[in-house]
Amino acid sequence: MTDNGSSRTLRDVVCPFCGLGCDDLTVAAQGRTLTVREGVCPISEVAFSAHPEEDRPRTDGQEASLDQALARAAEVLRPARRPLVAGLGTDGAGIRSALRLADRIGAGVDHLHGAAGMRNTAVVQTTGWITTTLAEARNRADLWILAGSDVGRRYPRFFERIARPSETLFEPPPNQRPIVFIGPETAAANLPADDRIERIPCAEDRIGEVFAALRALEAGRPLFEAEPGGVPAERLRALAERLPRARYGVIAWDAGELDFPGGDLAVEAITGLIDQLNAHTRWAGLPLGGRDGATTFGQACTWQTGFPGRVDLGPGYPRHAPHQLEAGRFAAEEADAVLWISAFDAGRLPPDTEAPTVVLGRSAMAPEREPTAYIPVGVPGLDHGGQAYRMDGVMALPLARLRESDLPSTADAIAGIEQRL
Amino acid sequence: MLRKLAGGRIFDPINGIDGEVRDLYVRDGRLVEPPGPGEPVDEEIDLTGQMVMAGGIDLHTHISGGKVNLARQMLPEDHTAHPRSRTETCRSGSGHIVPSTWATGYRYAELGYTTAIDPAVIPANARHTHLEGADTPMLDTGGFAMLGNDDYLLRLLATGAEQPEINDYVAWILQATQCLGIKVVNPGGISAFKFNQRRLDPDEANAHYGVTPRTILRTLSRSLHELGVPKPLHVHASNLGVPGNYESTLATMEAAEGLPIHLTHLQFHSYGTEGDKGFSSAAPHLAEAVNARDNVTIDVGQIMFGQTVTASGDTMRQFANRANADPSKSSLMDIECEAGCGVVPFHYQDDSFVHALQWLIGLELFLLVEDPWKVALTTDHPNGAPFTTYPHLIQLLMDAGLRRRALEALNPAARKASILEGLDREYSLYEIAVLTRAGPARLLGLRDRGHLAPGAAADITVYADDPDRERMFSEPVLVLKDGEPVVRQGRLLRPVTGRVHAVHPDYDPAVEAKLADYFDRYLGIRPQHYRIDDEELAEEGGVELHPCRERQA
Ligand code: SF4
Ligand SMILES: [Zn+2]
Repeated sequence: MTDNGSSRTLRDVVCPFCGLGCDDLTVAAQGRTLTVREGVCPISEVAFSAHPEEDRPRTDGQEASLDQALARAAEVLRPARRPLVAGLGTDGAGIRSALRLADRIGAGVDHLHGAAGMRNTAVVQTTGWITTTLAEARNRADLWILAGSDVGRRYPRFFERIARPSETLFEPPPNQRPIVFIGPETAAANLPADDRIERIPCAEDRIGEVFAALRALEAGRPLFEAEPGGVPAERLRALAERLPRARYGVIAWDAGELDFPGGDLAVEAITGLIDQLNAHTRWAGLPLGGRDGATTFGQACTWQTGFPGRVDLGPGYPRHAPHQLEAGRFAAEEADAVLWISAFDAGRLPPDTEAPTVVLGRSAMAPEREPTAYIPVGVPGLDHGGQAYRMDGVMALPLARLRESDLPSTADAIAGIEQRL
Repeated sequence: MLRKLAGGRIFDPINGIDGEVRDLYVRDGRLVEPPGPGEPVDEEIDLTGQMVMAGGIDLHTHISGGKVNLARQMLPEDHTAHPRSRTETCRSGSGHIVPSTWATGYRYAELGYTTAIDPAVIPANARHTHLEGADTPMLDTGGFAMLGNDDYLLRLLATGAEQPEINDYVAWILQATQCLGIKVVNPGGISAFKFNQRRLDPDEANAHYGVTPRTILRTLSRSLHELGVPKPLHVHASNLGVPGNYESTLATMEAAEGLPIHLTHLQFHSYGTEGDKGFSSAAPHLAEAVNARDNVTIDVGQIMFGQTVTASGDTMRQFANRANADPSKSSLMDIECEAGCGVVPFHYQDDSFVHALQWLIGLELFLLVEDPWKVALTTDHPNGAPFTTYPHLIQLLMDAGLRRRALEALNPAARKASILEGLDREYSLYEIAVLTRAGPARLLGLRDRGHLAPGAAADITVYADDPDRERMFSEPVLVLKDGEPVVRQGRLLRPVTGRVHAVHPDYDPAVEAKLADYFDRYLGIRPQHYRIDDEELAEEGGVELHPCRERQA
């Protein structure tokens, strides 16, 4: 594809990258070069403009035609007895196609944010939870608690669009809504300057202890520690007194950041507190996440297989294997072939494995070990249309094609492999 | 290719055919007139002695969308216990209570159903619902978009907007979501729960908007009538599950002021407060009210004993129902200032007074509402029971002796509190055909479905004349979808794709500018990203639009 020099301005562009689902971007397109002009954030700035050139497919380290690369991919997957289909960082059609292929070849399946997904899933499966969505929280939250998440860095427009919008349907006015951040200083440093944001320092892996203490205080039970989770009990007592007075409180967390043993228990402490508070007033959780198509994957995998991820299709039917199907471990210890998909982010590399590997990746991906077949695919929402879920799992947003591309979509590439199986 | 289905006994209530032996002819997916002399028949299928009906139509079944997927996520035990293996042609899947999409489509077809309507499409979640539809084989689908708890409508009502402005919005929602009708769930109550109201009666105002459920019901039923939408307003009434709720149910019927209204899963809304336990059947009372009103239709939402899960838009009532969760887990979600959902697993037990009485109340409704055209057969899948229990339910309706035997296993106090034992009515096959295909097709406005006259879609189900009606309806001899055999002897032959049924009533384009402003200021999404274009439904088999009557206001 050559740069024809003509410049176009694209409005109301949907951004598929972090999961917040901003759909108000203005993007300038000059040939294949995309520049976000309005609605930009540090993530979208890089993600739209990165590496506009299109890679060529490769087989066994040699440049190849698309046809040859698809054929080579089929050769890798056809004889496999214990294949892994993982990564799955792509759009709705790509994920659904990958699951179809996984079903056909009897593969294990894991998303590249599978660990985060399983932390939330563990809670949904054992107790359930009370949650809310982005627009509901934006209009209604009169007390926010950010539980450990580095929101400023991971969801850069969260404050502008959700916690501090210019207008809301309900009282109080958006700039007067208190926000309590509980978490590490490194993340607190990325919060906007705002005197209604209170900061309670707490180590990342002690968030669960803090919420367990808040649960106890809310229920009128005694605390057995002076500083639960390293936070002075007095501070927690003061916060606990405010909780029941909120008319609609929202606690946001990002399971992707609760990456320590017992991370799922931290989620359960948060959702348990929410549950208690709803006996008298309204509170809801807002699980943050959704980059690399994680929410899209969770939804599609659930409706197609019955399980929200880490599924083994090897038996000929879906079997939930939350531990066995951790992609890194499975690739290293069990898999005899790997299909890795990362269409949004060239930096998400396939797991280290001796098994032959097929990569469907965003151009400029540089795996440490050369894949047996490397098939560059289009970026959903840039090179081709499709659907991507926002983090709340309710809105599936339509993605548009912003530039000409010779690359196949993930779904096209997978259909091509299937034809050659 | 011209197929002749020869010699079957035809049950086709829309055309008044009750078990007569006739030949049917099928070409290009449609029923056609008999060929002229000398015109060759390409294939003849001998149906001598078999019973032929149009394909089944389920007008209320929660098979897709966000809350069903949440229920799937919450119930790994259901999916682990019920795997479905991949075959040469079919995808694998899992689940019995809330099956995965592929399993859902295959199972429906194996029971002779060819159309399934998801009654609770949250507009913001409509794209999700259609994406699941694209992965649900065998079935034509359609949905009812949920309104009546959305801030936009409640705001219009609170500020005294005129009916035509509301009609424009309702029409826009139908087009944007690609749905076939409108449903209201606990009118105003889901919104009220977000403002911490825990109960809302039909004449009680939502604390924020000052609007009552009655106003919402009147306005929406009128809106659909004036827009000419065939499907009457689909209503999940106030106070689901609350003892004494039959009064709200009567008020709900009245709120339509004589315009068409459909009360869904009436069983859950037919409770009195008599007896020592303060819980009794109001089914006779409500059946009489239905019999007396030409504008009211219902489906029952029969419960069946066993494990299931309730997935409902009614967060207010599901929050209360959490106390009875079995197993003890539940989820609730407030959604986009327009709706909500709640998922609570339930295990209905025949030795429980309440559960047994619920079972009895459902059957009382079936047997006491006189006109079968007013009733659709549902279990409110999965809320009352999974749809796979339909054959057993049909047998219960057709066999008074079986019902009496079933009563013996029930909680004795519940049995005493019901008049079921004295009800001798037995449904005929013709009437079952009304409840399971002809009636729903008519209610939905699907003029070329649910019957077998030339011109109708060739969705056809053939059953053996088995005196064991449960077995008969469990294993159709043959199912044709769009004229092609897809099931034989209850076994799937090959997967096919259905299509989406929708209506696109007219609206004044001025509503779009108002919505764009509202979406931008408050929701943080562009309306063009919210609405679903026709082309997006290609993978789901495309959209088939059904005509609306001429718009009145
Ligand atoms: S905040 Fe997230 S969705 Fe919004 S523009 Fe930045 S990366 Fe995209
Ligand atoms: Zn229902």
